[in-house]
Amino acid sequence: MRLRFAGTALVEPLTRALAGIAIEAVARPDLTICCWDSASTGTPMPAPYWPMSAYGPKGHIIGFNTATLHTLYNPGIRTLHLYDRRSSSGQYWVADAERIPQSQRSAPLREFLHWWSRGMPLQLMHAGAVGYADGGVLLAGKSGSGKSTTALACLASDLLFASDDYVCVATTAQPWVHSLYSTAKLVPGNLSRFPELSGKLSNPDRLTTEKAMVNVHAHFPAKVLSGFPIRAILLPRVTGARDTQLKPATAADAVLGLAPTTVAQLEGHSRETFAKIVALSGSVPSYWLDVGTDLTLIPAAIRDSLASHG
Amino acid sequence: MSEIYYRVQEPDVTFEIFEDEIIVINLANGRYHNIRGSGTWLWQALAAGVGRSKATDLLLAAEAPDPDPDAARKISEFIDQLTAEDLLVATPLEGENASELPEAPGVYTTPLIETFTDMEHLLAIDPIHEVDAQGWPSELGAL
Repeated sequence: MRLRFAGTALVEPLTRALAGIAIEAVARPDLTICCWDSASTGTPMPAPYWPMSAYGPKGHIIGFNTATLHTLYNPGIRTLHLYDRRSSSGQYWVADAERIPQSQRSAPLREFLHWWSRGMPLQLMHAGAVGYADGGVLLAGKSGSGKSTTALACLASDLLFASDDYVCVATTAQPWVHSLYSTAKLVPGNLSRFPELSGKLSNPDRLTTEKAMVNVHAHFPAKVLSGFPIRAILLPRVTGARDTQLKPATAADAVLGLAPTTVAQLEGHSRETFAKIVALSGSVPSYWLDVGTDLTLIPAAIRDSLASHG
Repeated sequence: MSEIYYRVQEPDVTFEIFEDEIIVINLANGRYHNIRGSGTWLWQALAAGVGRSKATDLLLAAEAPDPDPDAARKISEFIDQLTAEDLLVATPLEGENASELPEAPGVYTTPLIETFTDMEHLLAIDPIHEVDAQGWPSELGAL
């Protein structure tokens, strides 16, 4: 993926989370996204081509989403995403870089990756991932289920971090997770449980309105893994118990943990997304991960799941 | 009484059948559903074109270790929920799809549907309050 910027205002907010997968420039990138903002460039976005009645759910512009074109506009943030499948190129515009929300700074440009992967055995999924080079687990569940707590608890173990929130999954015979974003987010009230994150937050001045954000790649480079084969899907759920336990889950449980949140957050080709998640859930075992209060016991439970399916 | 037939509300609705449950997602509104018990057989039968009365009779005739005097009402309410959630819609077209017909209903257990609404807000249309000089809308205070 090649990112091109008009000016510098968007470089940091859109690339910080992608630092872990940065590579040298290539002659023919698979995907090119041009990014610009109006506030720093002084260039207004030309008038929209569609009427006011065209604004649909999830920012979908009715009539401007076809087999080859995807168009999203968010009136709250004032961002426009345009993607042309024929040229594998996209345009990202935001009125003001200062207004980019945490959800886009922690998982930037995910819409383009979602659209680009259509028709391929690849799927962005709302999930975390931890493991070893020879195998690991996907952490699935809606926001607040314990994905980030689980993923960050592994920083103090030999398990490696691939993501706490969004990954790209190769839905092949042996499913494989690819790390995209090397940031992690945590509810501020949970920070005291992770003293190793002290002084490493990228947004310490915004904790009244945002989750605490940590650039794992920058602060724990040896703990970040680019990807691994998926051995199991774990479904974290927070309990009040001290210990962390694994309990068998069904493929349907995994689909319920992965599909609704992924399908709802990503605009476009939802049926294909659902089908890929169903395929993944049927190809690896699933477990409930009853996350206990003693964080040091979480990695052992994950290792147990890997030992069963190594 | 004339028979009522249904079809899955495609393309908005997509579903997957598992061993003893079915997950159904309505992509239009973000609501998703977990169907269990004899509801899994009912869904498959109705989606395959079995009429409402016939499907009900077949299920009521199924083996039931603990016969439920309210079974007919529960079946009817379950089907009503499927239509109220826009998962199935009545169709004038009569005809069973033999390739998708489920086997006999087996042992009767109360048909259940659990509906989750926590993703609905993600599919809501953003409120628009203002429009900038170029004609781009924004929420209140975003300009």
